[in-house]
Amino acid sequence: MKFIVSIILCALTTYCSFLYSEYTPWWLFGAGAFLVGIALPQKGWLSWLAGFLAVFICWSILNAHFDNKSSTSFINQMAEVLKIGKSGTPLIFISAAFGGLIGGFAMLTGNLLRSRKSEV
Amino acid sequence: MRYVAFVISLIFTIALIFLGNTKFGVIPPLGKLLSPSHGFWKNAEPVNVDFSGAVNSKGLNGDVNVYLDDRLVPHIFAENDEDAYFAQGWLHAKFRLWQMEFQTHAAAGRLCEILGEKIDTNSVLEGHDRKFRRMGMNYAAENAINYITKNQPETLKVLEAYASGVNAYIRQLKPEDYPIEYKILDYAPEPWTPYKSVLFLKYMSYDLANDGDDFAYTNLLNEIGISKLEKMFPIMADSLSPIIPKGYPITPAAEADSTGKLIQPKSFAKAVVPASLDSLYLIKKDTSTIAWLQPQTDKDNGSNNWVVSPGKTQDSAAILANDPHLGISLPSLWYEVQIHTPVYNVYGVSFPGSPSVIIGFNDSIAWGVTNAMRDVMDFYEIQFVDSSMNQYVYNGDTLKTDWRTETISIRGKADYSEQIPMTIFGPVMYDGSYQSALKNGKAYAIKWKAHENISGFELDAFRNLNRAKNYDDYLNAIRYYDCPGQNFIFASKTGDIAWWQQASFPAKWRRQGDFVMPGWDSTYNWQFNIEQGNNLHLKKPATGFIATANQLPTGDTLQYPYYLGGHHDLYRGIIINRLLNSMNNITVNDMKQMQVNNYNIFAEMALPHLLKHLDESKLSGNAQAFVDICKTWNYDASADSKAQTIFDRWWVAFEELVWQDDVTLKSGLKAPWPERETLLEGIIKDSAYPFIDDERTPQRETISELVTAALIKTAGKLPNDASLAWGAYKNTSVNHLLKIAPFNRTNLNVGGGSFIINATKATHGPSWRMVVELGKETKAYGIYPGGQSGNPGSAFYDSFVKDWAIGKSNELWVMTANDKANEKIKWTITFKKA
Repeated sequence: MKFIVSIILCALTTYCSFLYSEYTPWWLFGAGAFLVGIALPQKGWLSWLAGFLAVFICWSILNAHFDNKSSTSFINQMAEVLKIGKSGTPLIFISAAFGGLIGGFAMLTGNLLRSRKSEV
Repeated sequence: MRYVAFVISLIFTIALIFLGNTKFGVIPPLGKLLSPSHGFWKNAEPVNVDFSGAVNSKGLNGDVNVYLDDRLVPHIFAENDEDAYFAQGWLHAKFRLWQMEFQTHAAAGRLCEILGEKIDTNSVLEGHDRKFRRMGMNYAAENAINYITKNQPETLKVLEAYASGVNAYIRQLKPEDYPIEYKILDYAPEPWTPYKSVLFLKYMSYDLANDGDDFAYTNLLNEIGISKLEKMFPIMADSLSPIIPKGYPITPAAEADSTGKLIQPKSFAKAVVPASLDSLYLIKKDTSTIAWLQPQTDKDNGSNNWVVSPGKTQDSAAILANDPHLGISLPSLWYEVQIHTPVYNVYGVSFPGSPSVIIGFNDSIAWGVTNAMRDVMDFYEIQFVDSSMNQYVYNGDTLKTDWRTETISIRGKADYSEQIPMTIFGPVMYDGSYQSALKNGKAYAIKWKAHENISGFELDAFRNLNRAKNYDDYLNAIRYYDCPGQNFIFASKTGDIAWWQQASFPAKWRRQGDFVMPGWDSTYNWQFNIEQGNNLHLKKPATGFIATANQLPTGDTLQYPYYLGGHHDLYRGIIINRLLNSMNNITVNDMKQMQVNNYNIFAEMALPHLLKHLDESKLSGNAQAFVDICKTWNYDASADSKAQTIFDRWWVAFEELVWQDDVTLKSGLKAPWPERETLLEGIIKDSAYPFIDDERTPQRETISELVTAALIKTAGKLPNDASLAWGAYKNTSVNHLLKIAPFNRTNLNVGGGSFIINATKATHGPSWRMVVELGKETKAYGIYPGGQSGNPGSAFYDSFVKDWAIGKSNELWVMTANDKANEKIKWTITFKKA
C-alpha cells in the first residue's frame, strides 16, 4: 500500500514541478521524490522502484502528450539530433528513464535518511 | 552501513542531476534537454497553436494591433512610427530570436562565447572570432553607433524603439521556452541594443562588399606578371550587356560654382594614377610575400532586379521584380511584414535584427536591390619601423600606431586579448600574431568602406524608402546610403521607373586595389569619393525597362572613368536584357515566370563551340551517349535536364584542363580561377588560344584535344541514369544555420544555377522572389525558401520551401483597417502602453 501511495505522491510532486517549471529548475522533481522517501518509509529497493516508476510514468505521459499534439515531425528530428534513430518514440522513454533514475535515487536517499535517523 | 548507503545514494542523485545539467563538449546538457518541463518537448509547436496575446509595456506610446494571417505574416497597425518599430522588434524576437542574436554574435566575433574555442579540430577562435575582430567589425559598428548617438537622434529613437520591443519579448521569455538552439548549445539570450542592429548591417556589408581576394591576385601577379594576368583576368568581357544601354550618354552632374550657380562640368574628376605604378605595383615581386588567401563569401552573392515601364505592360502599370541571391538558410534571412501607420503603409521583407522593410512596396512606389559587386575592400602592406609595431612608415615619415584592444570571451576558458594595430588605412588585419600561414613577418592593413560609413544613413535609407511617395522621395532616401553598394531600382504608381547604383564609392584608377598596395606611399591611398550625383543611374530610359543582374553597369570606360573592380556576373544580364527587349504587353505572370526561367544562356553560347571542336571519333559508351543528349538540348536547365548536368561538368572539366597549369603556382600559394567567359571568348576569338597549351608538357595541345578529353573524363565520372538529372545532381538544400542535419531541408528538386535567371545553386540562390505591379490596385507576389517561424518545431518553419522549389509564389496581401474580420486573419496580438 505504501508502495502505491508513494508512487502516486511522487508522481504528483513531479507533475507539480512540471506545472511550476517557470520558477523552478528542471531537476526539482528530485526534491519531491526525496521528501516522499522521508515521509513514507519502506524497504530500500521498493523506495527506489517507487521513485523510478513515479517519474518514469509521469514523464512518459507528459512526453507522449507533447509528441501527440506536435504539428510537425520535430520529435523525430530531435531523435536524429541526439543520434538515436529516426523515430521519436524511444525518446519518450529514454527521457522518462533518465528522470526515473533521478527519481529513484532521490527517493532512496530520502528513505535512507529517514532510516538512518530512526536507527540513531 | 546505512550511513554509507545514504551517502552513496545521495552522491548518485546529485551526480545524475549534475550530469544532466552540464554540457560536455558538443553534447548538450541531456537531462535538461530531455525533461518535459524545460526540454525540447516544449519547442514542439502543437497543432492548435495560439499566437494571440496581449503585450503591455512602458516602452509604448500608444496601442498597436498586430494581425497574423494564415501564413504567419504580421500586419502591424500602429498609431506612430516608434510603436510600429517596437512591435516589429517584438515580432522578430518572438519568431526569430536565436538567429538574430547568433548572427550579431558572429558579426562581433563572439562565437567562442557560445561554442567554445574549438569544435572538434576547427578553431572558432582563429577561424572566426579573431578574423572578425581584426577585420574591424566592432570598430566599424562602434564608430557608427557613436555617430548616430551624437548626430542622429531620429535614427537612434528608431533603433531604441526596436530594441525595446525585442527586450520586452526577451524579458518575459522563460528558459523553458527558449528557442531550441539555445537549449542545444546551452546558453541564454542577452538584452538587445541599438548597437546590435548596427552590427547586423555591418554583417551585410561583410556578406556583400567583401572583396578580400587581393592576396590571391597578388600571388598570381608575382608569378606570371601583369601582361599574362590581363589576358587571364580581363576587366571586361566582349559580350557584356551593361545596365546602361550601350551608346547611352553618361554625363557628370551639375556642380555649384563659387557663386552658387550650377554649371555643367565637361568631364568627371579623375583619380590620379601613381607615378610608380609600373615600378612598384604592377610588377612581379618576391613570391614569398603573401602566403594566404582569405576565404571568400560566395562569388554569386548577386541578384536580379528589373522594372518595366507602363508602356510595355498589358495593364499600363509599372512592374518591378527583384530576387536577391544569397546563401539560403533556415531560419531565413528574411521575415515578411506589413507595417501600417497614419503616415505610411509598407509591405515587404525585413531583416530580423533591423527595423524597417528592406525590399518591398507601399501605396505609391516599389523598390528592390541587387548587389553592386564593386570592390570597396583593399589591403595595404604596412612597413613598421621595428618589431614593437608602434610606428610605421608613410611617405618617408613615421606615423604612430594606435592600439585597439578587444577581449574575446571563451566558454570554459580564460579570455583572449586581441591587440590590433590601427593605421591610417584601418586595422592591421594580418601580421605575425594573426594567421599562422602568413609566415613572412609582414603586416597588412585593411581599408574598407564599411569602416568609413559611420552614419546611420543605411538605416535611414530603408526607413525613408518605406514612406517614399515618388521619385524625389526615393532619391532623397537613398542618396546618403554608403555601403554595401546596391542597385536600387524603383517604380511608382505614376509610371516612373529608375535605377541608381548607390553607395559611397572611392574614385579608383585602373586596377587599383586588385592587388595588395604599398602602404608607405600615399599615392596608392583612395583619393576621393565619387560625388553622389555622379553615381551611375537611369530614369525612364527609352528602352522602357531597366534591369540589373550584378553585371558591370557600363562598359564605357571613356565616358565613365572610374575603375569598378570586383566580380561581375555577365550572363544573367545578357538574357534578362534580351528577354525584356523582346517582350511587350507584359503581365505580372510573365514576370513571375521570368524569375524562374531556367534558360542557360551560357550554354547557348558555349555548347556549339564545344561540339564544334569535339572529335567524336575518339568517343565511345557514355561519352557518345552524352554528346547525343547535348546535341538535342534546348538549353533549358530544368530539374529533369540531363544535358545541363553533362554540359556543366564538361565545361568545368575543360576549364580545369586549360587553366590548371596556369594557376598552379611554383610557390604553392593559392591563385584565383579565371571567369567562365574569359575562356569562352578566348576560344571563339582565337582557335590557337595560347592558354590551351599545357606548359608542363612538351607537345602543343589543341582545343579539340582538350574538349574531347574533358568529355571523356566527364563521362567516366557521371552515371547515365536518373541521378544524372540536374535537380538530383545539384541537390539544392536549405540548411539550418548551425547545419544541424535534421533541421536542414535537402534534396529539393530545383532547376537553374549559375548564369541562369533562376540562380538556384546547391545552397545559394533566390532568397526572396518578389513581383509588384503598381496599377490602380497593387498586385504583389513573393516567396522565400523558409517560413515565418524560426522554430524547427513549428509548421511555419519551412512552410514556403516546397512552393519556392517549384517556382510558385504567394500573393502578398496588403491588409486594410477594414479587413479585421477577414478570414485570412488567424491570430491577433494587442500591444498597450503599461
